[in-house]
Amino acid sequence: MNSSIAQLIFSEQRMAYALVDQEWIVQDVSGDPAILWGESTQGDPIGQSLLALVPELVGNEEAVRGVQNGDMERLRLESINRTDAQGNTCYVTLLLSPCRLPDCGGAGLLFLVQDVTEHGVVQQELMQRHNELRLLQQRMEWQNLELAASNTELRLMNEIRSSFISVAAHELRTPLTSIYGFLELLQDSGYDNLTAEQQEHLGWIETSTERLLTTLNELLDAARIDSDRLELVLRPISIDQVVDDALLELEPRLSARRQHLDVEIPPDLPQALCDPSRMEQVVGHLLSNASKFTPDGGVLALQVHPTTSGEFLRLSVADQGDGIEEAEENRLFERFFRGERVRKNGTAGAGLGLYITRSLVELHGGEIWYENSPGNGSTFHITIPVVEPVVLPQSGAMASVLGG
Amino acid sequence: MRKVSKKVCLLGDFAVGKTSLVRRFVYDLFDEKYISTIGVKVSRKTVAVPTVDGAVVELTMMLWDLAGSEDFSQMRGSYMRGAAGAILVCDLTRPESLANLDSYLADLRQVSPQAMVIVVANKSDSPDQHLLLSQVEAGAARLGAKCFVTSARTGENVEDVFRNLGRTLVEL
Repeated sequence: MNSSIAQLIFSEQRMAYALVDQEWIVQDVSGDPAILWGESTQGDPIGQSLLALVPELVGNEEAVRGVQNGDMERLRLESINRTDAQGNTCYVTLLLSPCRLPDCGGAGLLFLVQDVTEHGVVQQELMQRHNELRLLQQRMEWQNLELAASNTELRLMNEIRSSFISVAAHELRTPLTSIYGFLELLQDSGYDNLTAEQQEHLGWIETSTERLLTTLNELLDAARIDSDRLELVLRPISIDQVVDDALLELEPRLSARRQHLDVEIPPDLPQALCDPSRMEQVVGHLLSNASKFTPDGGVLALQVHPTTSGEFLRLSVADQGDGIEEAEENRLFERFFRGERVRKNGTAGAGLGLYITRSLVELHGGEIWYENSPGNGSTFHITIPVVEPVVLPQSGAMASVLGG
Repeated sequence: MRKVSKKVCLLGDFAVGKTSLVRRFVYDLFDEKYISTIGVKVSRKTVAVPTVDGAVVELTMMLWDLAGSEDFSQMRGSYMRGAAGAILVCDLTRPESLANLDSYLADLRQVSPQAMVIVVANKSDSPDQHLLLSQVEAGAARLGAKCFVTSARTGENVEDVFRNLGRTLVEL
């Protein structure tokens, strides 16, 4: 081949070569020396050992010998990283093959180098992105494992806590029930033999025992809710009856505080489908809370209406308290949460009432929410499923009255 | 003084810190930025190694820093040919990188059955470690290799790894 054509091809392909004799001494070179020797380009390579000029061949002497002897067809090393004079990474492919040219002596070698930097840079960028993504993926997989492990641990701890509360509450409730029973016996037998002061002491014992029993029952309910062990016995019941039963317990308190309760329950409401004792607990708690926050002599309101869809009854309880502080709105239904005002005025309670109430409402398939008017009180709403959805008249006026 | 050159390969998964270990040993530098290696980069460092008979050998270590990515697994054999020693590198923050060392060693044994091997658990400075020292020791024992815990970032134990391997190579 014409040597100028060969030069052109070599230049276009970014290739260079050296011919070495049987002692691996460079005898001839062609092409850009920077491609051949990289940063180790120093002086005239003719007469120098190929190993001294090409560090990538150090350690590969056996393979070089194998090529020379014909044991190996060629030695090819791809994507060798080198640094150019400007400090940039460049990539070359090295090829060593037997050379029988007369210039090389008996068993010389052709050392061919091709600069593949253009391809190498693209490949490196792709590899970089690929590896960074894989690292991210591995990290996320690991974090997922850690999250799953801590989730399991938390669940276990929650179960242990619920179980502890349940056992402790049961153990405490038994003797308390006994105390309460004997107190009732004492009441039945009359306090005639007791002094006024002793009667007053007995009254305190009774109040404290009632409070303890309430707290223990709440703890037991919360533990059952947390461990998904709370079961409802659903049956059709008139909402009037649920409200009446809840009021039975509340009336003494309302009288003592001279509070008035406005009840608005329209006739012909469909029957509710609920666990009567649990729904009585819900209504009782909402009324008890309303009474707690309404000043003496104030007015509470309870209303029941069907919802627009007709599939639920909406029961609302309004108080005349100070309303809910904005900072506490998001935490109102949390377990053991007690508002600042409640804690300051010494109101009794474990902070479980609204948590249990919400859980019971949701277990029934209903919802709970409230409207807050700071300084003017708040209104709590719950929805209770009905046995047969009520068909409502389509008049706009009626629909707007019953909205919700 | 006797002069010898030995080829040493650094093997292990991508991003375990092979390039950083070489950079720390050869130039005493560390770069926080991860730059993935494609193909292989050959660096050299000459160290004076004392021998058991009291002499000192000038050892030039030709350090072959091989790409850890799977795309280069086909070429790995040609890179590892003629290696006198190898440093198998895993990452203390990635447990799978220790388990994968078995396959790198198997590849090495195909072309360089006699190569001396050391296991290095890198990134000891990281707070996010998921490998215990006992696990690394057990892994190294399984591969029949000594093990070192290093940090290319701080330089902890890096010099020791290369010098330890250098001594072993000179005494062969």
